[in-house]
Amino acid sequence: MPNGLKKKESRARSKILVVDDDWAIVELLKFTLTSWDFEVSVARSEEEFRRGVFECRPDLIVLDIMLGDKNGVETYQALLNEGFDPKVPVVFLTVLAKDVSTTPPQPGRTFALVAKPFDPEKLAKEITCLIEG
Amino acid sequence: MNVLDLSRDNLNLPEPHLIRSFRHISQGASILVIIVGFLVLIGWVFDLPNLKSVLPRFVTMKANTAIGFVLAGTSLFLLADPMKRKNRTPWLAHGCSSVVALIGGLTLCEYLFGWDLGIDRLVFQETGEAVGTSVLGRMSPLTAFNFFIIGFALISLDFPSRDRITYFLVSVAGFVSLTAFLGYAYGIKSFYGIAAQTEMALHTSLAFGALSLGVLFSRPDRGLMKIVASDCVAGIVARRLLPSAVVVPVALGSLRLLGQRMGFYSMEFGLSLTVLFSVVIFVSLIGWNVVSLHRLDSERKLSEQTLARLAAIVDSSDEGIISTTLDGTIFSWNKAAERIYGYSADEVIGLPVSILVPPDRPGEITDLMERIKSGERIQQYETVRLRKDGQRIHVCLTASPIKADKKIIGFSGIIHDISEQKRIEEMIRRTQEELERRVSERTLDLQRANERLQRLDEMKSDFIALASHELKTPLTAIEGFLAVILKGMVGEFTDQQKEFLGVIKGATERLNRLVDELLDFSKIDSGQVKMKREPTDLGKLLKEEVIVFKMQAKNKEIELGEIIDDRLNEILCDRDRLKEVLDNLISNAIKYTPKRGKIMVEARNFEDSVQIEVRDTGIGIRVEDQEKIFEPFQHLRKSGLDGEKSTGLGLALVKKIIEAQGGRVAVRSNEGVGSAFLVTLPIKR
Repeated sequence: MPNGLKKKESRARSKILVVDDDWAIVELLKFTLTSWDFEVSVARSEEEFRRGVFECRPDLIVLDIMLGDKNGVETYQALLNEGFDPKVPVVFLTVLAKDVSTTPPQPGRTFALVAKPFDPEKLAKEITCLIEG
Repeated sequence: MNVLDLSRDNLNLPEPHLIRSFRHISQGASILVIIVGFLVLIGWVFDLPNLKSVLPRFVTMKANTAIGFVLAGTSLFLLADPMKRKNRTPWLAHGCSSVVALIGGLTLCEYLFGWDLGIDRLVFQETGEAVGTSVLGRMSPLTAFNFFIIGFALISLDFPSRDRITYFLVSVAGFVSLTAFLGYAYGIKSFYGIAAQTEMALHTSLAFGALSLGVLFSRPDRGLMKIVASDCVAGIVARRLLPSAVVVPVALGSLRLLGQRMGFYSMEFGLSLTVLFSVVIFVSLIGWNVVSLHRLDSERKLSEQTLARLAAIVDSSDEGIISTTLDGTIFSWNKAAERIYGYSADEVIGLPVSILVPPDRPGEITDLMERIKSGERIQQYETVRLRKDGQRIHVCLTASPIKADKKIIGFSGIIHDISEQKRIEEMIRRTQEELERRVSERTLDLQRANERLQRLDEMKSDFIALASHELKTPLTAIEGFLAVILKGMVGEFTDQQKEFLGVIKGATERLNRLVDELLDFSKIDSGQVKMKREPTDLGKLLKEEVIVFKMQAKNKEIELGEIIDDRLNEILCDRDRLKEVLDNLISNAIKYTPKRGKIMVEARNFEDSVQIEVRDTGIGIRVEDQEKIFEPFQHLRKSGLDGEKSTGLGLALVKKIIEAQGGRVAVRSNEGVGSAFLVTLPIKR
């Protein structure tokens, strides 16, 4: 069990919506984030994402930019236009960037860009930072 | 050059001023004759002997004669200038002439047949004794004869075909009057009186002389008088000698006779004087004419030579030169024209120029002629003409008027055969069309190829994105789960299991790096990556790089150092990409340098560039391999000296990155001694 997990035992369970069409990535994120005591929901397609995001009201979204033949960023922007809360942080997963965006937490930051492949633990830390603001 | 014969008549045209003078003389003579007639009639009306006969001892001019002169003078006056009559038939003039001829004819009949027709007393009655008169009131048979022929001469004046008859009749009348005059001058009665018949009066003979001259000079534009009025040699000689030939002998004869009668000298002396003066005067006249004619002859020869030269030039011209009359009849045709049109000069001269015009261009010649007449000069006029064999040829015409005395008398044309030029132009045009067609086909092909390339490029971009995703997504899962396992999050493993998992992790990381480089290379290669231009402190960057790799080098007991020029220029480049290049070069150097080796990173300033050199004392690269090392997947050695793995793309990527920023990369290496990689980047100020 990672040290970080112990730190998060004291706080309320945050809801994370993982949006990725790859089964293995979804399983990895589910396992990792559950171990970090997050409540994890999964959307495996753009349709599921658009439907689920208003139902489960996540505290943070982990969104694969390449969602089948759809662009995750465009979908997110469309959701914002439909009234989705822009304060909900989003972690975009991408294969096109090189470095994991492990920048130090900044106040008010609502999104992060994380390159695949990523270190699950680092990603969990990034998510924690974003949720805690 | 061949010139049409019909033009010969036009060469000796009468001089316009002489034509005018001759007409004036003619009109003056007619008026004089009318005046004489009237004066004599006045003499008859008022019985003035001096008007009827010049001297009392001379015969009178009969009233019929005076009337004849008035009528003949009037007729001549009316017939003097046919141009002024505007082609109206001169009925009055012809009527007068006819009456004159009738008077003469009837009187002659009276003499010949002994008739008395009463015409002699019709107007005036001559009474008493009349000097030199056989029948009172009847004119001399010589006078009657002269009126008869002068009457016909006047009538025939308007008929050019009867010119010879007119000249003959007038000459006879003139001869008769001159004879009569000489009779009076020299006192030879038989010259003005035939047998015992009525004599011709002195003023009658003079009036006939004037009338004859008047008739002769009334038509200076044709026949013999046209020559006299012309500027040619014959005209000049005639004008100079003819008056002298008449006047000089008469005058000399009169003087001789006068002197002889007055007892100044004997007949022999007088004859000698006459002969002498005749010789002197005629020799002088002839001498004067000889000089003038010689000058004219010289001028004429000069003109002929000039003409011959011009004709030679025209004949030797490569361009067809032709001329036509006003109505378009061809009258000159040079050899080039023969060559161009296929007609010889003999064949074509005298024919209308329209035979050269194709039937589909009717009216073209007339139109051109009208344009020239209106003062336009036809230059470089391109058209089509017909050869004798019916072949159509392209010609270029320059046409101009031929003028004489400021009047257009014909047209000249210079013809340039441009058929060959047209043929070549047509060939060029076709070739150009063919070329244009090919170019447009090629352009279309290129467009299609370009579209295909664009599609391929788009497909490549799509492929890169897809490949990145499809390769990296499973790698993410593998690396992620390995990290979870290795961190003990799913339970503990034996040491051997951990070691094997470590091997899997290393391989996965290498695979990940390979994918990264492959994608990077593809992106740069397809131009998808835009290099940034940021001011970069190269010295600082190099020092940082050396520090990063210092530990790795130390582990291999390799000395890593740097020589940085203090005055190193700041350059504009993509800092991250340059860092990638340096990472590649320094890590490669460490990879292929044995223990206790040396690696030196050096940066130098040049005028417009900076050079970075990464030099090692490694194993070096074979000469034949040096060219290949910048190509992708040239796995010259599969791994470094300590088994470090290589993706085979590092140097290819280095080359792409540096070239994308306008720089160049090179290698110098000796196998077993070491290698030096040189990166040159422009200073972009």
